[in-house]
Amino acid sequence: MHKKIRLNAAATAGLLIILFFLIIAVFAPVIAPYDPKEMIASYLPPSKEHILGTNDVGQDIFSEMVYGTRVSLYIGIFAAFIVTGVGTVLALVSGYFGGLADKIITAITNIAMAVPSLPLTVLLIAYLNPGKWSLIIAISITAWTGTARILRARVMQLKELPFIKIEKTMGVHPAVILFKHILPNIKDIILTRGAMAISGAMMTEAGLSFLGLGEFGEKSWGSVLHYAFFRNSIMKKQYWWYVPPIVCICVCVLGFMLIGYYGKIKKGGE
Amino acid sequence: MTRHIAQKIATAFVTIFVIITISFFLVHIMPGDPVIHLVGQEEYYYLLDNDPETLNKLIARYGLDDSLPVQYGKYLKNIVTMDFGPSYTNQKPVVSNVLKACKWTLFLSIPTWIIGGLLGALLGVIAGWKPGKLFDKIMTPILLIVNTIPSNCFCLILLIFLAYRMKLFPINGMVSPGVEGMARVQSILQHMFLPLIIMILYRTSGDFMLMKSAVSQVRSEEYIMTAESKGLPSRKVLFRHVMKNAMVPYATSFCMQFGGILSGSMIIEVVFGWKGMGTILYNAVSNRDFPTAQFCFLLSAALVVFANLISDIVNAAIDPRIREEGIQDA
Repeated sequence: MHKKIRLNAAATAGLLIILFFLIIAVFAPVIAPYDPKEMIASYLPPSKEHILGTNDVGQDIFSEMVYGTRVSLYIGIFAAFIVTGVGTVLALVSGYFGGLADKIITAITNIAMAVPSLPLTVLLIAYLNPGKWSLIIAISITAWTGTARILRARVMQLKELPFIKIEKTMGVHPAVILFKHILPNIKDIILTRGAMAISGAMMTEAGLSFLGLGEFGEKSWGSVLHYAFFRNSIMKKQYWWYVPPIVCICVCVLGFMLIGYYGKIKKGGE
Repeated sequence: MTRHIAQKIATAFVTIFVIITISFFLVHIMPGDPVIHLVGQEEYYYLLDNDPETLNKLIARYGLDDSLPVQYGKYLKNIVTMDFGPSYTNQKPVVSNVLKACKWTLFLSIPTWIIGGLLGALLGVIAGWKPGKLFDKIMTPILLIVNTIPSNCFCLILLIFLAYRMKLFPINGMVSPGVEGMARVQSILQHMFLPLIIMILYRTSGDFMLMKSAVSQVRSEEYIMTAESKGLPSRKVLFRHVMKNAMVPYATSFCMQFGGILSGSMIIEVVFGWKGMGTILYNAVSNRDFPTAQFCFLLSAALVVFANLISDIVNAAIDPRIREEGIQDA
């Protein structure tokens, strides 16, 4: 009993973290005191007017961070949506129907797993025109394999259960079985894998933007950190510039991870 | 078993071929003139308006005036002969450039692979053997958090505290200039300490989770309960039953991790100015040096496929279910 409460606390903490960032993202225009692209005066230290000072081209760092929440979450959530969606559909088709479809999908999965994901992502970003959606596509292109594998194994287990077998012999349409009976049974795995996928995608995005391969029309947290690092803010001890993006990225990723990891254990324990 | 392995080898070759082909078509299926991707959008339109002559030269240089099948044939021939031409940035052959950088990456990734793999397994066994006990309660959240911090943030945090504030380590680079002999070795060790520690920490935390879940899964099996209830000392249960079974998935993924020894450290390399494979790929992509980028990609992909193949073979060798099946085959 004690254990269960503790695990729930971890997942709840994760939920609160995510809620906090979601509110910031939705109400960004209300919260941010300045337009993040407005150039005021460079390298101002923190003051009443600029809580976190200004950056090298004179933009208010606090406003940049508030709007950055939108960009980071947008990329993380949509990439995870694609990853989980593709993984689920492929797992349902290959796990349930088996045969040729299963063989083809398994072969594709194996090849996708053999591609080193970060180099391919970087290569794709170089070919695609820069933008939020190129990032999303490049991040999700190899990330779906884990979800597909896990779900496929689960679908194959479920398929052998009596109630599914009976429905099959009764001639229930496969779509009905898949959506009304199999999907609800793998819902929990999909949700926890989804939460993990968001944290994974946000980590990749943070890394890519940090390297300067991200979206620069609208800055994400990673892009703010990119400028802070490559404009030597660490050497100049401008901690108000480099600390906020590090904290935001770490805390937000941790939030999704807590839900994914401890949410799963709670379900497994019941 | 030989048939099983032969099948795996054949699959590995097909996989490499598919990756090579995808890598070729990556340039050619993108919308628009392939030259756009090679020189960049702005440059392309500038040349199109002002200097079509240069543009045509570029097209000829990349062999883009040939038909697609001819280009594909040439591309395959270049891969077989390992000839990727000169790098656009320093005009030296791509292959020797990249292989030189590989050496530096291996300095970091081989110790990471071995030390992280052993440490993670050891800690994971202890935590998984007695889940919920003090060790598990302390290690699991710590390593979970390590696993959650994006590597660029983690690098910066350590850089700020250990290198900038406390000045314990050099900030950037691989070796101080102008030192020879033993001093040079010492300097390299000093420079590689921070990136290496970070990589080992990540690997340890990942492998810890893997081993812990493998051990605790085996632990809940009925044959473990049987072994315990017939009075077998817990040390014997651990080594004879739990470890033996938990090692199968762990050995497989340990072999698979070998595939990442060239491509797994890109961000850390860039932050620390370590001129390895990751930095070379990063610079190649930033400078649109596509032959270099492509060779880096193919080399790391080939390594991943190779490591997967090794892990399949190891798996077949240590898992009696596959081994027995093989005996029936023969």
